[in-house]
Amino acid sequence: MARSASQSFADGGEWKGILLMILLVFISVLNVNIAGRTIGFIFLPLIGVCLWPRTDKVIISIIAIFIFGLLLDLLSAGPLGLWALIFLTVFAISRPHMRLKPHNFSSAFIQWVIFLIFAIIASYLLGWFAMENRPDAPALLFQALAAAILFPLVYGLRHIGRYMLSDADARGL
Amino acid sequence: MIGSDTDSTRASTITLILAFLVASILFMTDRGSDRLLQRTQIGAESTMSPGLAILSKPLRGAENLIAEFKDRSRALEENKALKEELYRLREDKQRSQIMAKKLERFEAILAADPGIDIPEKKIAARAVSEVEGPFVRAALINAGRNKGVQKGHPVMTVDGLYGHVLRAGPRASRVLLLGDLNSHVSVMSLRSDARAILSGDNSEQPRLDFVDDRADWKDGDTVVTSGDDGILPRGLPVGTVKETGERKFIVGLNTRDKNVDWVWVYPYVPTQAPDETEAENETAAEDANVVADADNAASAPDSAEAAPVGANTEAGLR
Repeated sequence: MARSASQSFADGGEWKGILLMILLVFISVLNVNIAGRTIGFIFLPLIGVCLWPRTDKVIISIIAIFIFGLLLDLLSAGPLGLWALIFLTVFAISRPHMRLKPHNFSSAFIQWVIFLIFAIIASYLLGWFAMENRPDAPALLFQALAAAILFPLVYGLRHIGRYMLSDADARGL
Repeated sequence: MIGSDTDSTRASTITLILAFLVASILFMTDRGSDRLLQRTQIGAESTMSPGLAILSKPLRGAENLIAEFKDRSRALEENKALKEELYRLREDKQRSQIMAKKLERFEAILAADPGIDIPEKKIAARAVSEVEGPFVRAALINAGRNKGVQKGHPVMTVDGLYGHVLRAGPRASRVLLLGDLNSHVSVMSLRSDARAILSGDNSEQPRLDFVDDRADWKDGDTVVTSGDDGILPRGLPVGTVKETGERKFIVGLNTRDKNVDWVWVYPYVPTQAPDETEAENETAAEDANVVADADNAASAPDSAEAAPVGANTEAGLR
């Protein structure tokens, strides 16, 4: 298995991910009215899943992501299980625990855009199936755009968090 | 062991598959039915609402600040327009006071029910989270059963009807907004009394359904609740009609494009349909009385207990 010896430095990394997800889930259900248009951030927690820390406590990570998905479903009053399914799929594809190097901004952004496109399509189709009615596509795209604009901010926040919560040896992981 | 350094690939794969399965089961069972975990949802909303209220404060503050800047930039012209409106409204107020007196007198003469059923009591709350997403249009308010909020209560802003309470938790309530797909409200035109159903379609402007061919709807009509559904009180302002095609209308909601911070809930008690079993019992009791009265009346001439029969008959007929 391609797990480096330095993997043990990532111990406890899941808590940074959990803290970031708590913040992002809360913000995602707060809409902002800008220039007469209500903008939501439902895709924001997806950034947290994409930037999930490289930790060897995979089971805790899976359970946490599953719970955050359900929490987002409950708080956004959407179909129950929708975000849990999307988050778990993204986690299963990105496999942060198998990542050998930390993300730099460009690689993280490219990965995020790919997962965002996947999430838009998945949420549209699953939402259509669950609600038996086509979801509002422009609203979906607007929310995706809002989250994409905030990506650098969240990435920066995670970067700062990594410096504040990790010891010197663990930085860069 | 879960969470230990020895999380094996196999164990994590099994956990992932299990999580997928549980999420899929929840998704499938929740589809097209009442929420499976309604109690959990109410609990989650109530628990999260204080946190959301704290987080929403700076956001709402920023929104209000931007709105204030905008207002300030056009304060002079707005002041002029407001003055003109004030002069007009003064005259209208005088007229309406005279009309109110007249109406009061007519109601007293006719002993009629005025029919104004908008409650005077209001429950103030903060809209701590608003979801105007692709699937739902709902809001979370930080008032629940602890303040007397119940399912079905109308929720207002200063501009008009915002929605109605979908679920009331102990300390927070979920409000279904007028634009939501599941929102259907009985409305009428203030000008012509024409009736229709305001149906949400997850868009910014809900449409008018069941518009009768003879119903007199026009572009610019003011839409208010009709109270025909027996759920919402009559006369709550909703929005303005826009004609989009032949006999096709949408409604520009009064609350659209507004920063919604404070709302109030009307503790309106809807018209209650008579309980079927109660009504059946009453009918059965009345029938029994009528039969008993008939028997008593038949035996009355040769009975010494004639007097109470008359009383019974009266009671039966009453």
